[in-house]
Amino acid sequence: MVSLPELWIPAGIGIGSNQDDPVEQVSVALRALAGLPDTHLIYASSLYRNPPMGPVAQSDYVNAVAILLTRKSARELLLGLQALELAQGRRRDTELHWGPRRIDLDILTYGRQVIDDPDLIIPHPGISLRNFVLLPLLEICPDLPIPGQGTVSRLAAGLDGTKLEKIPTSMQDSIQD
Amino acid sequence: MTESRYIVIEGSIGVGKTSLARRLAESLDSELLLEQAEANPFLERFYRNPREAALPTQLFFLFQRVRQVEALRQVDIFSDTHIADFLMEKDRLFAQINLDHQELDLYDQVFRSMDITLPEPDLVVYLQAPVDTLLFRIAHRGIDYEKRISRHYLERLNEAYARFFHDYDSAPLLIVNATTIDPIHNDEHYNVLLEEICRIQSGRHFFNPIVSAMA
Repeated sequence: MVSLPELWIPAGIGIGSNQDDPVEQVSVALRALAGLPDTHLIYASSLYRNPPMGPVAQSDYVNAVAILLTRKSARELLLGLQALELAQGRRRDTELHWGPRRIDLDILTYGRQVIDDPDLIIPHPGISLRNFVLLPLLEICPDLPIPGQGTVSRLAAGLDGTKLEKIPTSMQDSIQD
Repeated sequence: MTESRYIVIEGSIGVGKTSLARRLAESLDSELLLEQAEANPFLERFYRNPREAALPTQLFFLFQRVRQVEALRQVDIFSDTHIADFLMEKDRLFAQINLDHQELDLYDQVFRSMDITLPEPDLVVYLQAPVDTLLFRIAHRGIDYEKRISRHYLERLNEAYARFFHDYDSAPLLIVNATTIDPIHNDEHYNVLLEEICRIQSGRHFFNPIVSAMA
């Protein structure tokens, strides 16, 4: 499918961090996503705390997802996200696969497109297995279609969310006093 | 928050008025005054055939909103904080878009005959978002009759709201760019907005935290 540049395409973005104050890193990334040119932020999920996956010992991850409307092509969006990662101090050259990272931005979905390039796979192959992607998506956009797999709510139905902890609000209580 | 206030959330269809009103009511421990669009028996017909059903749809909303606002006046508005997801003035804003000249004339006669006293909010929060954002949100919130809402209609509505609030000076106003924040789902965004809502006492304010953070 050829992307039509004049159309606004909804794109799901996964955000993760487990270094240098992950809550702050994810919040900074959400702000940066909202400031991307040719892009609107539609939804931004709560932040979730999550034990790391993979064999490398490291601290807990903080994850969130966002839905953008973008006029960028999938590849332009990928470049935009990589620029944001760099601006936020991520260094791909020294990090381990599955290892700790300051900020990680992934395109989860791009409209109903399916892309299978060596460096860009959409929908993101990990969606259906990752509660830290599906449960935040369930919060903001339960009927978002994941091409070839069904809606978010269907995929999330069989998931175990017990290890995932929604990070509570800190300021609300102080304002009420 | 000991001081009681009457706060109104306004903005176009799909911008998130009701969700924000609910969330604020919970935080501020206040009474909710929500529009009951689903109780309007003409609304579904209106979205199917706007021209034909516009007048009864508008008149039903007018009577409904007047009843709600009257009820608000009967409770002691100073004893509790109230959060509403509509401003009485929206009624005529929609009438202007949806009615033809003669219908609007009739509507205005009905309106005048009702001798409505508009309650004055302590703060109006005007949520703004572009049409594409509204279309996506409407498509994903699962109200079937709303899925007939056209881009053109939302464009006119957005313009009407922008014009209305450009001249609005009946209450302190907070204009929120809801394209760069999601105060419904995201706690950080919500908390910053809540702080601002609690702070504003008077005047006209723009809330666009993302852009200012990037600058």
